[in-house]
Amino acid sequence: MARLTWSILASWHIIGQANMKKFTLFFCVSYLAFIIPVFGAEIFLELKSSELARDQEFLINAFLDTDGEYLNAIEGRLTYPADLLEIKDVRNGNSAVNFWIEKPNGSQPGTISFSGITPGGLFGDKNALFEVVFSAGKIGSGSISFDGIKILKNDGEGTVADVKISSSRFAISEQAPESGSQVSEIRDTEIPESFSPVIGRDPEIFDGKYFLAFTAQDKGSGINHYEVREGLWGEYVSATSPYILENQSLNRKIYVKAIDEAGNERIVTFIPDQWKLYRKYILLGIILVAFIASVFAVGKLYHKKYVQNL
Amino acid sequence: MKKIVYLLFVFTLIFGARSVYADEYTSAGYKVLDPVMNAGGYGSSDSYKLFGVMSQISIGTSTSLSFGNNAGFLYFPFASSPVVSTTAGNGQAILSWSPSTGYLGWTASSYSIAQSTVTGGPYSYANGLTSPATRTSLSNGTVYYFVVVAKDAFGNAIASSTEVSATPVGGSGGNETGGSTGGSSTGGGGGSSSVTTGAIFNGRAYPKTTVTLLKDAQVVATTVAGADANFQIALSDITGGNYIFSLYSEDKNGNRSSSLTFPVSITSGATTKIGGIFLAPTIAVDKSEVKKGDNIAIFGQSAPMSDIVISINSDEEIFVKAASDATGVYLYNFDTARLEMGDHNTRSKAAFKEEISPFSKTAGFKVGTKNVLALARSATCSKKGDLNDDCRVNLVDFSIAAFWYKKPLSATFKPKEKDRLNIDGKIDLVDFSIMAYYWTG
Repeated sequence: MARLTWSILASWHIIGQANMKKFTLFFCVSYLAFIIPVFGAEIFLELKSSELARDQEFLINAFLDTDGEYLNAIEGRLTYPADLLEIKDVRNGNSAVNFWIEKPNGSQPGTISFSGITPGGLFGDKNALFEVVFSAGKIGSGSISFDGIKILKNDGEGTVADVKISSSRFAISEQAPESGSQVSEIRDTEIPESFSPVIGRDPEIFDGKYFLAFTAQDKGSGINHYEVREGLWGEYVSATSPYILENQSLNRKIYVKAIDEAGNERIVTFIPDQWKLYRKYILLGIILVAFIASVFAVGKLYHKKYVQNL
Repeated sequence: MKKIVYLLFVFTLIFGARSVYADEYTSAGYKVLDPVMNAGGYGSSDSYKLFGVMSQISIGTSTSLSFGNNAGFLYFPFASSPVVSTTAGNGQAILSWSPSTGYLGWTASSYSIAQSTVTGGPYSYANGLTSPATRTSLSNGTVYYFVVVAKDAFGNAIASSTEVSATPVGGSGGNETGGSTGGSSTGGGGGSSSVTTGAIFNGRAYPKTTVTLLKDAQVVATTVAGADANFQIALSDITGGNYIFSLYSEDKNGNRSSSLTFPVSITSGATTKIGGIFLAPTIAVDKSEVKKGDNIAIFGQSAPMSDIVISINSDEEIFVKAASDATGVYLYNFDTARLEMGDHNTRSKAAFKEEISPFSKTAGFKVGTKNVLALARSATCSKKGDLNDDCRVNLVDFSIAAFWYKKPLSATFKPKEKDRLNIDGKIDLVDFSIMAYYWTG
């Protein structure tokens, strides 16, 4: 910047006072135009082919390059022309985002909003965020891009990271070079990853009731939904985290079932501390009853054997 | 013509002209402009010789994007050791590693892999590699040993990992099986894999302390390190895919270390070995406020018999050295006479043989007019990100924050947000980022 100032001042006597304003503006614009922008992270899309045919299904992948930094939070929107494309599926299996604040979904035409965090931070040049299956509609061209992207550093202060945003252009015609679906079918035979539900309570939310928080990962097809069962004799009900527990006494085991998009399921059993205490009392009660019954039986036997024979 | 010359001159000024001075010392990598010649040979001892001093007017003035010139005190530039994972395949081994973080002017610019069939070498080197890297043309059934070496821009080795091994096998991959896994009891239905997929973690923490492993931010296993601070965790209930693993430990006083986080790609049907894990030391101070000129005790725990470098952040960063004893405990009584009045913080790192840990968490203290003892750890567990006062940051805190996401905060939650998150009176992405940084699982 000092060089720019000195350059303008050095030009004063040859340009003249009258033209100095225009000259200064010209040089400032020129200077800024030649400054090489310094970007950090990059959020980008990958599309197998940008030449599409009508009704063709195709997949677009969203990735994050952290540019050598640890980043732990991301939010933004993926925008697309809703008059040309229709969302068929949004997948987040194998996503580098561990916890979604706002899970990407296709409920709002033209926009997919998302926000989430990765505790400890993301690092690497190709972190998968999510993927979208689109169906090409009428003939035309357009672009799929990001909007309102905010990415934060893993520094404990939520410092905003510099980010470069890339978009993908596409064209839909009657016939594309590669016809047919570009979307490969996911063959997922693995059950979801193990996970650890936790119980929480806060006086200000959910009327101070105990709630169960959980989330599972599925590296293949992604999690479809969860079900929760309270107690051995309870029934599974569809649930989302946080789940307000019906049994606020916490004296029953809780079973959480994670089901992936392919129908594979994992059941995790959560044993509340109170249940352990409850079990102790039950065991103590059984032992006590058994003891009393034994004493009674021995007494009766004694009575029968000795007292009645007297 | 005169105007054209002037304009050319001006353009040159703007787009790249630099003043030219005598440059008596040049190399491919640096240039010393207008050097001041000093007589050499003074300031020498048996172990070193000081030929001259490169100095600066004041701290921080001679920095650029690629280097920093710190003058006035001794500095210890270092780069942390990479954490390396290996997955054996058919005639090959895939190596991936976490980045080596450089401090005080050192930056890891490239990586080399040292390879040998004999533990400890001699090694052959493959240079200029990026993670993940596949080493091919290996013999099945032979144990290969690898070391990842971080190099600076000039090709000097600045950090190296511990030696890790892999045994290539024919067919679909390795068949080593993992050991116990932690977490909740599980059952399952649906499909399942017929091949064994696993991961084994080896590293160094603190003697006889509990080490916690997080997989994608959820606690999956804990173990107790040996008397030599070494630990191993085997994970078998896992599928192929990309994971983010974190490890932390708590020292004998209950102080928690910073988390060491690294991405690992797990190959289905093979056992991935992750080595070179060296947890940062714990750190604490005995006073929250220290009278200027009095000593403050800086202490913590690391691997036994390690060199500990302690950084004290003042107007300039001051470095001192200590050593840990056989139990891994270190202590340094720092004279605060050289510190300015006001708030300061300190952090430490450990070096054991060729391994260098990342920096620890920071411990804060104030230099003032009186001595105030620091509270016990039980009363001071980090409140950052902890919204339900259980000294942990996990899904419960995430759920509480998510409840208030983009909602007006209640009068009673506002002070909590101010104290434990980012004091802007709302819950947004920044608050979640803070929570993610302090995450314990």
